[in-house]
Amino acid sequence: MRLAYFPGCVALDSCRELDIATRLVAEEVGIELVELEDAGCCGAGNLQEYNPEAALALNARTLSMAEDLGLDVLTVCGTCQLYLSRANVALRDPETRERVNRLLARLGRRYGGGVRVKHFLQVLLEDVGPRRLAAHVRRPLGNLPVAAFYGCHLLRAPGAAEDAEDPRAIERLVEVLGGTPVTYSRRTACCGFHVLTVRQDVAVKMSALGLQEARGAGAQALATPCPLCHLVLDAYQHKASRAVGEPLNLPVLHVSQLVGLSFGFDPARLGLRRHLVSVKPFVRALEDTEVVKA
Amino acid sequence: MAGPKAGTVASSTVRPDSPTFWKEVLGLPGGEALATCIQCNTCTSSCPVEALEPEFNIRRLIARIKLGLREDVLSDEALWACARCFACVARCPKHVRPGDIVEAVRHIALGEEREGPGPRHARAFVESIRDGGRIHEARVTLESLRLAGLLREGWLPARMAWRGKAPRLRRRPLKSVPEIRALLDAAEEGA
Amino acid sequence: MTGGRKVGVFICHCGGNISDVVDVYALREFAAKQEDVVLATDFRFMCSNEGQERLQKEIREKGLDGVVVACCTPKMYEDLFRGKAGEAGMNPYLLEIANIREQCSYAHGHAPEKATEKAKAIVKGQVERVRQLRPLEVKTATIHPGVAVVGGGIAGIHAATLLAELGHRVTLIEKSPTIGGNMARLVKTFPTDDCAMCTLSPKMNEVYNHPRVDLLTYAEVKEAKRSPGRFTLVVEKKPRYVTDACIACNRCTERCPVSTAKSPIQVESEWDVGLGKRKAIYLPFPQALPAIWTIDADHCFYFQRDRACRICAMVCPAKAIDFAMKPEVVTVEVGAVIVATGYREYDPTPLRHLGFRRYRNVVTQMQLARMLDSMGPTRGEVARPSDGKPADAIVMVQCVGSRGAPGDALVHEYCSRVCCMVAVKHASLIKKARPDAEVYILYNDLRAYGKGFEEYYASSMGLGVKYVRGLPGSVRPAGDRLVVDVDDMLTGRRLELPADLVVLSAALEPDPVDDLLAALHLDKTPDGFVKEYHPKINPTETAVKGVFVAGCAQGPKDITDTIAQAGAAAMSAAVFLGGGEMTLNPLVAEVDPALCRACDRCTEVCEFDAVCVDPERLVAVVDETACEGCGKCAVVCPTGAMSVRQFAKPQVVATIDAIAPLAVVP
Ligand code: SF4
Ligand code: SF4
Ligand code: SF4
Ligand code: SF4
Repeated sequence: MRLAYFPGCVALDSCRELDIATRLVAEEVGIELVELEDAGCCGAGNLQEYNPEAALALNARTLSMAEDLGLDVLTVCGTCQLYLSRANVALRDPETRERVNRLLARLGRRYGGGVRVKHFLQVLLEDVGPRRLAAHVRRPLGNLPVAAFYGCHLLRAPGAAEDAEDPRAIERLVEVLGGTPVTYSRRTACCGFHVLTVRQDVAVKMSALGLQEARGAGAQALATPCPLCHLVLDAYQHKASRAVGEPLNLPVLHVSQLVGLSFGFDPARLGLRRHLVSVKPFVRALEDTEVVKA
Repeated sequence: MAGPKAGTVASSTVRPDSPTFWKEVLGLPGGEALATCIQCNTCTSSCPVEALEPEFNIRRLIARIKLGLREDVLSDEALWACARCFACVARCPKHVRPGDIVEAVRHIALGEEREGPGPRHARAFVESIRDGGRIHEARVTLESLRLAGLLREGWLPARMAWRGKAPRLRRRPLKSVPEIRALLDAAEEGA
Repeated sequence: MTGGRKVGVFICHCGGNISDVVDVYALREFAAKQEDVVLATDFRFMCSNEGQERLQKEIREKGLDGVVVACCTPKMYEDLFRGKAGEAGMNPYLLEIANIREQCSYAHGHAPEKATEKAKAIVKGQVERVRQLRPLEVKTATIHPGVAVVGGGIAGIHAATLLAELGHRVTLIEKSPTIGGNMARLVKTFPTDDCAMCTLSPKMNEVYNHPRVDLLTYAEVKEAKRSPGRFTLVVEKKPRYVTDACIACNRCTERCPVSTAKSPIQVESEWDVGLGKRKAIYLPFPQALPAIWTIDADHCFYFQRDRACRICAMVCPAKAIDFAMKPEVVTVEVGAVIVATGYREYDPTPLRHLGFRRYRNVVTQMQLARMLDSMGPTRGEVARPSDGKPADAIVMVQCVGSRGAPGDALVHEYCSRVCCMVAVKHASLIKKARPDAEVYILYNDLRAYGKGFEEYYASSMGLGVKYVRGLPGSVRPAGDRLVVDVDDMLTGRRLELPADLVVLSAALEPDPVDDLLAALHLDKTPDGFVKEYHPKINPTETAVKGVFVAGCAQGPKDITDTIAQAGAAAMSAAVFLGGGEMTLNPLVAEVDPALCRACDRCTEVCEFDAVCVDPERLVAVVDETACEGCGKCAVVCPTGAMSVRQFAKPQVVATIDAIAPLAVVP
């Protein structure tokens, strides 16, 4: 299977570990990633606010690059998934597509509307499938309670297979990886990333509420499919702890890292050392679980 | 906005200053369904920001737009508190797409070159795309927060750097930056 | 063309409305000069008694066989003048109206001279038209005196009883095993807190025992055929597998193994809206009529497990069980049909944020009504379905599935009208029984529009019912309770309301009866309810003559309004049947068989299903009782075989040719 890989901005900047882990896992399950090296930012809502037409055109450009390759787009970020697929839906309308294609024509590009945009989580569960995934698991997550943090943008993206109010994808994945999912109601809540710069107080409290509830439900780690959620939940967790007045100490893993760990990859290779909340206790507990022979 | 004039009593009353403001918003991407709002409050009840910051009330924002309180809406810093979670969009029984209305209103505010942390952040973000094709996190953060804001982050940047987690201080622009810039310019002209 | 007609032209002044603008004397002179016109006269008010008498007198004396009345719109007095002409011995269809008021004097008051010219053109056009008309025969058909009422809820029961009292033979057709409908579930009714069953049960008995009512329960209309003055309904009676020898002893139900603890077959009780179980042989509720038990073959061991069980047959003292019973087809002939098929409660599952079917303690108002019934699944206690513990905090959510976005297939755009008061009622009942229970109603607009409703709403506040203005964002679990997130507009506070029970005020939606509507050629309004003839001034008739609509089949209603409308529908039906005879409108489409090529274009465009192609003779045939004379078929007919009487091509062309040279340039 080949996919046009759109890493987005953050997975190549402060969350480089996500890019690394994703490449490792993809290789292991036999997905060839053709990186869209020249694709621009998805706009993340900011460009959409500044100039909606420009945002639409920039995303159409990205989609057309994948279309030239004859591949579907792979994202690893909730926000990229949302804005690329929103653009894709808007571009289904022939009139809009013609209008945007007139802009793309200046770059010698054209988008025909024939590309699908998929997030890695969806690809793992639907295209690779639970059976093939399970076959790669060397280090089942065992009894380690892992909770999901979905991030709103992945859930609200048009075409999301999941029930946005009651998603099960990450929980299903954790089960496939031999683990024990923990559920709690704020797993669909907003991390606050998009107001992190403007209203850090609000963003920190939003993430704090989620972290606190997950902890209370017994989770020993969170798994998130979005690097922006990760940034708030991990790098700002000390502030969240201050906000709720108790140490939260909840390691946050990218979904790709969680899969990589269960595949038996070296935690260092997966970039786990880059996290601000130490993943060590979780990894140690995992190392105590039994390794299955291939 | 200007403070109260000397010799007047500060009052928090407002007057509708733009009876057609709603049509202005209605004509922008995201604002199309504004008129059908029945003020049921499902959006606000769904909003995680409002739960922490009652100053930002999405239903009331829509009511203010419909009533024509243009300056009141555009000068309100709370407008920039929406976290774009789109819970309101998912649940609004009338498909009003409240979160997208925020996008439309912010577009107007940006077009008028309004000041404040929100507009500053949006502009820094867009500049970063123009310069590099993708976001240069360190730069966007610095430009949005300014030095004073960055200092308020305390040890966080240092801790991130220690973990090798800090955003890169320099980021190589994409090869295709001229192309992207041309596209953005073209879109702006077209508008 | 025809020649030799004696046409009279009568010009009305309309007390100045016409004559102040149009020079009626010049118009009279002009009319008198037209070919075949033997009389041209004017009068102050043609519609007055005197005017009518003049018309009749002239017809008789001059032997007119064509009349043009130049006056107001034909919508006003065309029928009257035609009737009078008929009485005077002229064929009524040889009279035409020339509208020189709405289309002339009213429109051109500022230009009297041109208006007069235009009036001349209009009159000349109608004179030419009248010269082309041919006398039409007025046919009548005898109307069958019987009535079928489809739907045995309160609307159908009330309409059936009234018509039977008036002497009509009524067939009441109900698809479930008992009459009573939704009202039987409601426990109490607002705004008086009357016991629903106590008011309904006597009416059920009255209709059940009425000598002129034939009751068909467990029966559905499969087909309906129309012929002049008569509907032939083909009704299928499903087998109950219990004969009317049943003595209502309940022994079978007691012993039936279905739904017992260990049984592999479990059935949710429709009556208790899924809150309780029922056996495979059952009586829906104690007051059900007829009091004959029914076996639900889909859930009975005998039918589902290869005759594994016959316990009921063994214990039945009356030998009433008959496993060999077959469906029965009954043909019912009637002159009128009343559609009273009612509503069902909307299923809120698609509104995921409200948690219905995700959390057991989220229920609907209908389920709560069942809980409030002392004979119901919780014996009158408002309890949590999850563990049966009494619910101390109850949160009601309004407008669930109502007032949604246009075009959203998962919800309805209309307001369901009754759910506000249902919530007020249930909240009040709970508070009266248990003042310490907390009840919150989360509403957007509270609609208390009916007689006594506002007072009832206000009194609920005296009982301590709490009103929160704003609909919730989510319902989520917290321990063994639920939490409802809602922002209250009144206090400006974001609330987290703990709840033992969340009650959704789900919309009323039409019971799905598409097959019946198709069989009767009835339309629906965009909201899915049966389309009435006119939503304001004729809400009980339909576009199909002889078919009437009553109750929630036409739109959401409370019981008071349902009774009122059912009464009105019965009255309309009685008036329709009362004449015993119906006049068939002769102004309908007709086919020239010599020209018809059976191309089917007319059948495709007809909105009233009034044309079909006779497969043997291969010509189109018009059903004159169904045709509305709209003319769509005539327009699409490629050979000119189809035309509407008095609007055949030569007749229309004659008018145009007459008017065209006189066209007035504004
Ligand atoms: S949820 Fe929709 S209809 Fe209700 S107040 Fe918000 S925008 Fe208006
Ligand atoms: S999108 Fe904005 S307004 Fe809507 S619920 Fe989320 S934060 Fe609130
Ligand atoms: S069917 Fe027989 S056993 Fe059952 S109630 Fe009737 S008489 Fe009794
Ligand atoms: S009656 Fe009340 S609860 Fe029902 S839809 Fe109308 S406003 Fe909403």
